[in-house]
Amino acid sequence: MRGRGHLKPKLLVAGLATLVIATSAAATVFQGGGLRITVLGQIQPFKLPRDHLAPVAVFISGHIATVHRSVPPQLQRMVIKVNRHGRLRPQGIPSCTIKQIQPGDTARALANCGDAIVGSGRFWATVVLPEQRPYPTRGRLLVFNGKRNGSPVLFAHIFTSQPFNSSFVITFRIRKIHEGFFATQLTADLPQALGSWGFVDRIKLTLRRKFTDHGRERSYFNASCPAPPGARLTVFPLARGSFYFADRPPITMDVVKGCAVKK
Amino acid sequence: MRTSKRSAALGGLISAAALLCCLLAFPLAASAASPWWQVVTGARPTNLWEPEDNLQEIDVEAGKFEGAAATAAKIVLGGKTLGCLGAEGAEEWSKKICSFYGFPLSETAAELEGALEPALGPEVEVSGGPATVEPFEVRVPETSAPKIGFVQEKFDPAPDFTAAGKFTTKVLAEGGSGRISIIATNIGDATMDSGKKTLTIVDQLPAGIEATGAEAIAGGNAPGVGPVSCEVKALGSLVSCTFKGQLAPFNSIEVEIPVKVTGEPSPQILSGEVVVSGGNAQPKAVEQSLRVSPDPTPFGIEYFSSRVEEEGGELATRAGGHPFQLTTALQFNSGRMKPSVDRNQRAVEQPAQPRNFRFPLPAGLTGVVASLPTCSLADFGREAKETTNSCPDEAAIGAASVSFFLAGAIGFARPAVPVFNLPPAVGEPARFGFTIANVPIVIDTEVDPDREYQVIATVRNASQVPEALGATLAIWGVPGDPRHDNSRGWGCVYNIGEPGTCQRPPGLGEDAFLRLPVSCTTPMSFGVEVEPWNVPFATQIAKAPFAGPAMSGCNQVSFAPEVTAAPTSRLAGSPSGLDFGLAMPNNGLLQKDAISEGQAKRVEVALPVGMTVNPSQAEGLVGCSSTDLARERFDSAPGEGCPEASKVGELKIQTPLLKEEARGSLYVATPFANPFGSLIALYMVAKIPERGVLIKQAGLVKADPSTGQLTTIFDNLPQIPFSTVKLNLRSGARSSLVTPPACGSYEVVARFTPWSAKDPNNPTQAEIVPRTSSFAIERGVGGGACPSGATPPFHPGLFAGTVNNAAKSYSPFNLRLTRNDGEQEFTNFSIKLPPGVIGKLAGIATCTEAQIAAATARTGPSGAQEEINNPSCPANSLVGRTLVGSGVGASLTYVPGTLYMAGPYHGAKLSVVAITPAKVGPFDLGTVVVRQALKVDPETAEVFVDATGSDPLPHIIQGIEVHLRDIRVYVDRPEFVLNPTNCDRTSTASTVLGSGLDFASAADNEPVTVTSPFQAADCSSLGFAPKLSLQLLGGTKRGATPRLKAVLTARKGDANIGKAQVTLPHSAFLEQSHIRTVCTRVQFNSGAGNGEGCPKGSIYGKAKAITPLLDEPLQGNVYLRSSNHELPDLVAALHSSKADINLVGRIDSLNGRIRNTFEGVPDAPVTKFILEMQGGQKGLIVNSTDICRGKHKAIAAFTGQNGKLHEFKPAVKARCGGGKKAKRGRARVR
Repeated sequence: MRGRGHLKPKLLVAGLATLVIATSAAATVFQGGGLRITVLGQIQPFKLPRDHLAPVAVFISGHIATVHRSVPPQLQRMVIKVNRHGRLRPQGIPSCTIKQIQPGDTARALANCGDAIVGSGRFWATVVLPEQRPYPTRGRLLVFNGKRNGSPVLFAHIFTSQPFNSSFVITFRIRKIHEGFFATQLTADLPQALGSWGFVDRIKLTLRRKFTDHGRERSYFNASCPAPPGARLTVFPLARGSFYFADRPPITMDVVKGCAVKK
Repeated sequence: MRTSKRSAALGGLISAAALLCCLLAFPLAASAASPWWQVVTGARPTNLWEPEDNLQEIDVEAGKFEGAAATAAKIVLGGKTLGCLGAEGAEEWSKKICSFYGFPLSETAAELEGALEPALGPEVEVSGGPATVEPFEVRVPETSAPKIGFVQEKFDPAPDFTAAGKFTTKVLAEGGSGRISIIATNIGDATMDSGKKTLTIVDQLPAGIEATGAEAIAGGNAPGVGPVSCEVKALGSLVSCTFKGQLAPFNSIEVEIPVKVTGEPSPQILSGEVVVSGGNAQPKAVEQSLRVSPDPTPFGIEYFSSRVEEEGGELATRAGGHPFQLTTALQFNSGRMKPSVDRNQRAVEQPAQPRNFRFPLPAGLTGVVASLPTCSLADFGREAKETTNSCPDEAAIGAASVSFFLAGAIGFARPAVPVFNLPPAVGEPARFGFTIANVPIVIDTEVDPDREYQVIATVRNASQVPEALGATLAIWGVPGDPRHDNSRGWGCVYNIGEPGTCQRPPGLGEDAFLRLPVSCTTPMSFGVEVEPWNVPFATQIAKAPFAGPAMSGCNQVSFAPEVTAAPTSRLAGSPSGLDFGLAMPNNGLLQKDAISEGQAKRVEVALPVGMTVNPSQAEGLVGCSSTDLARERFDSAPGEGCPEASKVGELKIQTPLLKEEARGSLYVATPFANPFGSLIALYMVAKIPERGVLIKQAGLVKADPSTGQLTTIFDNLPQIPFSTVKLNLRSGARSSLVTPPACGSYEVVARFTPWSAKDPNNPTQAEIVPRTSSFAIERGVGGGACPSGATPPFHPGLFAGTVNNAAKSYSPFNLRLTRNDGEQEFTNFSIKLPPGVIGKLAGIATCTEAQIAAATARTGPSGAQEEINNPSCPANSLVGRTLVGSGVGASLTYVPGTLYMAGPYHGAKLSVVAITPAKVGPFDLGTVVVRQALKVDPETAEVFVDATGSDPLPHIIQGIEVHLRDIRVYVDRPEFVLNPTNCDRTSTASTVLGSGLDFASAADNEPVTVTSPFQAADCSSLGFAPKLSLQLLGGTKRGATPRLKAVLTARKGDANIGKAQVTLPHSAFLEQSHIRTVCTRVQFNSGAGNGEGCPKGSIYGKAKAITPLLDEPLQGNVYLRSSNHELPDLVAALHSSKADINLVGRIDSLNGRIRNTFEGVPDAPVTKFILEMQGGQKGLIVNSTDICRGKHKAIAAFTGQNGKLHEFKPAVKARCGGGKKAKRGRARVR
């Protein structure tokens, strides 16, 4: 899948730069109504060019918990808006369909769509069935570049063998937006993918994919540092995440990161 | 009655005598003896009708005097000479003789008629004759006429003259309508003296009756007793007789008045009046009742009276008093008299001669013979002077005046004789007797327990030789009373010859004999029954009643009973008899001037609450039926009447009337067929065989339906005095009662209603006399410590198991639940059978609701017997038997019952109903139905009887505390109960509810769980190799969600499956997104349970199990149900009409493979089990690969109930491809 969508990589880079700055800072935490959401984002490298995009790796860790250590509310939808200085560039990366990876274990997913992989990580969730003691499940998480209905998407394939061999896919729909700092929006409906009884606890993910397209080295994730002229360092809103839970209003939180201008 | 020697016999009189037996009298204020009258009137014949002609035939035979013909005699009529009848001869001697007599010779009919007219009136007609040629016939129309007599006196001039011819008169018809008879007897004990005031007897005849003459005698014409002069006055409507002289006690003036019925008679009763006045006795007026009828006079009683009198003749009415005497008069219907100038020559044509007499006396009129002197039978039968016997005067107990006719020398007579107290024969309470003309008359007595213990005097087979006409008999209330000294014994009362001197015997006591009733409500009722000789025995009985007055002065009758009552055991809650004593004072009974104490009409004895019927006594007990009771006689042997098996106690009664003690038994009456129609009743039967005394009394026993308190009521007790009653209810193992459950003092309360109450049937509270007797319960059961009063202990015992415990064998299952005396009663119990002990319901019917209701409705008097004869439930629903032991003590009463399978009850699909025809001994308590919900644990298939869904055990049935102590259940239907195939040690468990402190309250019920070990045997000999096939039906490609079908087949004879574990192939992923919902356990158990309340989305498949235990397969949905495991359980909720089973599978994984484990598979035979999981959008299994590629095998691990393991790897079949190819392509992949 090579090079069609130009997703304004500089926006993404800006967002990632913010995350990078945050490495020296505490994670972004929201706590209210007994719910605590912790998001930690990081971009590498810290130094990015001011006026053009550079490949980056993004580390994301999210944790949803309650202050009472009970099962958190079910996350039904995530909407992530990415800073305009960061860009997703799927052009040149093979695209994968969901049927190629689902159902199947990690090995089968890699075997069928290894070229389209753009990230990997781990996934933790709790399955809560009525009157049933919650049971945890976890598994490997692979992120594939994909398309659905002609639109670019990211498929997060999760395979777990605990307790059973089971796999499912979370689909992030990608679309452009023009909302202030943010120019890219990723939307995922979780229940559809996880089942009605799954409660996401934690996701740990590294997004990084470099590839060669027409002889040129490319990266799926790209960013620049939006430091103003004359400044070497800056802090900027990397991303704004909105989390939709059942039976409560959505929670929106910004992840702010810093970056340094690469000379 | 002048004759000194009479050999006649009197039968009739006797009757009167009978009364004597046991009567009463009044305390008499001491006064001098006095004469008074008893007047009896009647007629001969009793039925008077149109008058007949008097017809007489006179036959004259020729005679001779000094060789010449001479026939002559005076014509005498009514004491007057009317002429001279004869026939003249050649020497005219006849005229000479008649001339000597002062009359002309009458030879012809006309001459004779002329001679008779002055006496017989102008209507007289004479025909026939002349004398010596033809007889004369004399007819007096419609009038009685005296017999025409002839007298030949010595002819003075002829010293040798003896007779001149022979004159004979035959009365061919008396004439008129008959004769009125009036007998006035001095029944006082002093001589009637009319020396100063002439005695007059005036008969004002009824209208329509005309006297045509009158004659009378006094004292039987005994020498020295003055004549009685009678005349007819007022045109025959009034007859007046006068007497001057003395009339000794029990002597009579007998008046005969020839009468004719005038006019055109019609059948009716006519009333006149007879008044006796003058002398030193009070005047006496009686109604004269004459019967006018054309019918022949039948055998019967013309007059009967019986009066209890005080001195002077007033009626004695003081309750409990001692009267002066009881006077009874009896006169039989009479035939027509054939008159004669000489009473000795008269005759009477009686309708029949009396044979047997019965005189029932009023209830409560009793006599005390125990202390009276008697005349030995030897003396009674030994003839003494002047046709008397040799009885001593001190044995005299009264006097009699008896009318009889003895053809021949005596003719009509009415002598006075003494009545003696005789030694009773065996079987008699008392005996009396007198002799008339050497004919003994014996009056026997008996007491009739069926008629208020009336004394009945009887005379049997009375002599016919003297024809009994009537009698007056007096029995003295106080035989030793000096006022009777003038009429005591032969020397005083007998007026013929010189039988002896009249003087009071030395040392004669004055104990009272007769005692009047002690009740003032009912007039005294006398009666007489007589049957004649001329008909077969008992075919004709003439009866006559006589009503006396009711008593008065009952408020002066003292009543002071004393009671003692105590159980024979002083241990709490233990079997016990009861000793009950009743004592009555009788101080006034023998004191002639005192009032006797009263008697109880009704005794109500209430035992204390807690002292109840002991069901133990019922074993072997039978009821005494009314027929049995009727067979009880004073001399019947044990068992001839009430069966010995109906005996529950002993009885002793001492009465002051007799020296002997009455002994007997207390019997249980046949329930509901007793006089009260009650469940419990008692018959008290006591006897004095040698005195012929039989006491039979029925008593009602009421058991309080809620407390079981017992109240016994004996009502209508006899008024016969008694001193003590001792009653001992049976003790021992099968004793009648149970003592109260706690130590302490208790009271037996007796409430007496005396006969002397104003209305004994409705006494006022003030009239009821309460008495209490206390007793103490001192120790606990078995002599242990007293119960604390807190909740009793409860340590039930359980013994249960199959008779043959071989694994997988059919065997009867027996269960026994016991408890000890003194512990809490059973109220309910649950039973949980050992795992794997189950019943084969296939082929068994159930008892329907209607049939159970029919059994429940059998509560009537024969409800249990009806159930025994015609069981309510069908035989095919019978699964076993029950045997219930109830009672206290060492021996219980066991009642068998039956156990049936029944339908849904209290939320359970099945129930068992124990139907017990509660027929214990003679008691039919109806049918007791205890239905218990029979539940099958849906997850273990353990069978248990659920106490909460069951009927309570009966505690008290119709007032009888059941005291259940031993409950046995025999589930013995062939091939019904199946043993488990698991030989682990297990047990039958029962949670038994004790009654706590209060049986009626469920709040304090105390549950106690008891177990009985159980272990099947020889499980290892059973094989175990089930088969399993698995199939995935539907899509075979990766991502497809096929249906899963698993079929498990068990081998016959194998042990049952204990655990089944199947791990699906690696290719089968869980399609987590297809988990629509899970059924919570609350939902699962809601409604009818077994998944009924589960949401549809929780259904993921279906299952079916086929078992030989049921007629139908168990089948139902397969749910994901919440669990305590990490993952939801896979539950196959199997249903049938008789049981629900939930096969619960635990879901987990083996290296990520889906594994399901049915851990606790019920120990029950299943021949085939089919599980089908849904596919497609509802499928939980998703192919992670194309299952037509490669081999896919599951892992199966089965563990038998006997511990044997069977593991294998069955291939999962799938439909790969189509057609023939598809068949070939069935993948067997791993």
